Amino acid sequence: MDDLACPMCGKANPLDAEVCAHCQARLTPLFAPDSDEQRTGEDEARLATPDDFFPAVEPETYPDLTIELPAPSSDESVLPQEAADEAARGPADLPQWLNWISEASRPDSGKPEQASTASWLEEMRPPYDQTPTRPADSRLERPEAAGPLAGLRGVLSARPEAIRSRKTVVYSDQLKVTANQRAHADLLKELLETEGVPQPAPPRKTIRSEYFLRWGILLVLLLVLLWPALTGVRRAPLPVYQEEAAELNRLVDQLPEKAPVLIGFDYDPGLSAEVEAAAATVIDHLMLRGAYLTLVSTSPTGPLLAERFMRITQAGHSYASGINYVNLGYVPGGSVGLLNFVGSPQRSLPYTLDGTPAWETAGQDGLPPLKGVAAIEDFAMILVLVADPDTARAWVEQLQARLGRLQTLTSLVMVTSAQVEPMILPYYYANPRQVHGIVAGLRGGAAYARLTGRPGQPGRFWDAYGSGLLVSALAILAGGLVSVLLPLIMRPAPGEGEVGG
Amino acid sequence: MTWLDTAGALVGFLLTLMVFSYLIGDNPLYRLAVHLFIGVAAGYAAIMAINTVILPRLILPLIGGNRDERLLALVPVVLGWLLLTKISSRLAPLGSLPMALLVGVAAAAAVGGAVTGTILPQAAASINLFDLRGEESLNADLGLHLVNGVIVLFGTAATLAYFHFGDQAQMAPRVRGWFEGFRQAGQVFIAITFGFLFAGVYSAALTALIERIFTLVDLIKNFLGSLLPAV
Repeated sequence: MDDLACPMCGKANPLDAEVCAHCQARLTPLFAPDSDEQRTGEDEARLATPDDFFPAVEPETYPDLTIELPAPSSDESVLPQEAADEAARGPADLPQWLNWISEASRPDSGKPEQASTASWLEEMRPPYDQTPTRPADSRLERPEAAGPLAGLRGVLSARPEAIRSRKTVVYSDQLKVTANQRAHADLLKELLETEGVPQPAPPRKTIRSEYFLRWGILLVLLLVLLWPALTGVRRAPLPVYQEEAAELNRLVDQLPEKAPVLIGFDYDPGLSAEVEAAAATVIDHLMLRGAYLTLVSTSPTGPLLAERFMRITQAGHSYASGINYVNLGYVPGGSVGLLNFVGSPQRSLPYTLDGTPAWETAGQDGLPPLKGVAAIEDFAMILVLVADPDTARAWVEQLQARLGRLQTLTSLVMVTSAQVEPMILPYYYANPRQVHGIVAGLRGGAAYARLTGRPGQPGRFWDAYGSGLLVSALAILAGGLVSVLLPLIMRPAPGEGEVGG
Repeated sequence: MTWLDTAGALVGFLLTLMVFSYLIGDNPLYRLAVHLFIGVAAGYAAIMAINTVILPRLILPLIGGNRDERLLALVPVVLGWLLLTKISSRLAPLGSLPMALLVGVAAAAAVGGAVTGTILPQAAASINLFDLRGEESLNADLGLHLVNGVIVLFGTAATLAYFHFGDQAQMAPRVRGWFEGFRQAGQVFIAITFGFLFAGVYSAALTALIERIFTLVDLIKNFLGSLLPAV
């Protein structure tokens, strides 16, 4: 057997261990007899005497136990017969220091006198049929000298000796941090502390000339813009050619008469001036072609803008609501609503803005602009008036799945604000095209007006627009030059300001 | 011109001047005009939502619809009420169900549309620039077509490189130098794009200003013309 079982916890320990590695119980006796010394009954009696370890205790101070314990004698042995037999079989299994126990427990060493023990104490005794892995510690054979169990054998000692005293481990409450960590912590602390402290605003550079310069630029710009409005003179020619506008013009020209056209009014009132000026010529062209118009919007203000556009901007045409055009109103839900409308326009917007059923069903004829239209692909053209890049992209993306098919002949075209143009142009220049024609801003509207020969609103604004852009470009150029040249001019000459020399 | 049109034109004239008063700094007139604009827009949006969504799609089916329509209308009623519980902090968890539905559906529509409508077609379009057998390349000048494709490819790659924030310390010094130059080229492309965007925004604002000035001048001309005796 390589391991030594602890008598207290029963766990295995090395043979040379003095104390149990698990419960700190002692495995070797404090006073082990010499290996070559033959233990006698006197020796055992001497070892069993508590005076060897503890001061003598007066017998009258012992507790009154209800059991009669025999006085320690040389032939006393508490080992049962089975244990004695096992000890007799061979001492080779036992440590050498326990040989005296083996000798004492042999039958020929004298039969021990049986003690009469109480039943509860008998129950505490380990069963004899279990073969101990190691004989009991000799100390356990000594009678207890102190405490309520004084005089008993085989009990744990109540003396502090049984408990191995150890020095208390002291744990530091100081956080161990490196210098780098400390620096980061300080930085964080400083940041958090300064976060709530109001910082004084940096003193603003007061440049008096800046004030006059700003007003000077404004006055010049207003004069330039007012002059064409006051005089009504149109000197600047309209833009000659713009590919995207020309493509849109060609598509409108190819539309058959009374072709159904869907128009999305998706711009805000703040940018209505630009979008409507650009869209006026395109929708004017559609009306001249006699197209049936269906108006929708994903913006709540869109339906109102659409009605206003049809009644004021296109007042010259005799288009009537419900006959030549139909306003289906607001598509709620943003991109999701648009996807729903593209998938099923009849279910998405069943009524016009004034509550009239719009679509052709089994029970009713529907309105003229929507006759023969059941799906989004039945429109000959989809024209989107838009001033926001995200809205424009949503239209392209949600329509792509339906219009991207080879057999679809519906074209998607857009009239946009100039600020949307950079975001939409890639869809036009893609191969295959995702947007088939674009009129962007006032410049696009003017280019379209030149193609149709009907200047309209873009032609009216064109002089002021061109003059305003020219003045703005000159102001930006002059400002840039001043900001570059001024530091060079104001730079102190070499040697200036140096003391001595 | 009816009296209503005249009143509308006068209100528009006054509000335009109130907004223009911001030129002399923030003032109560400007703020009044802005608050009016926001309030009217919000009020109109609410009326529009009631008239075109709540009444025809919720109330009318519940009142006058058949059994199926009524049952179908109960779904938005329940979800709408659950969404309203977001007002109360105690009942707010009940509103998570419709909120999750809204966000999930919106995200699915947006992502699906972006993939099929922008990412894949635009990637294909960039690749097709080098398809010399394409219809466009047959019609256009081949050299010009190739130059265009190379510029687009270089610009795309350089712009993507500008947004590379990886650990460049791992690169060899020579490679790092080349990469830094490539990134700066991407920065030039980004600056050109921003310049284009700024020009568009300025152009839109200038057009709005021109339209307002023309409206004011037209109104004054009409007003003066009506006062002056016809010759």
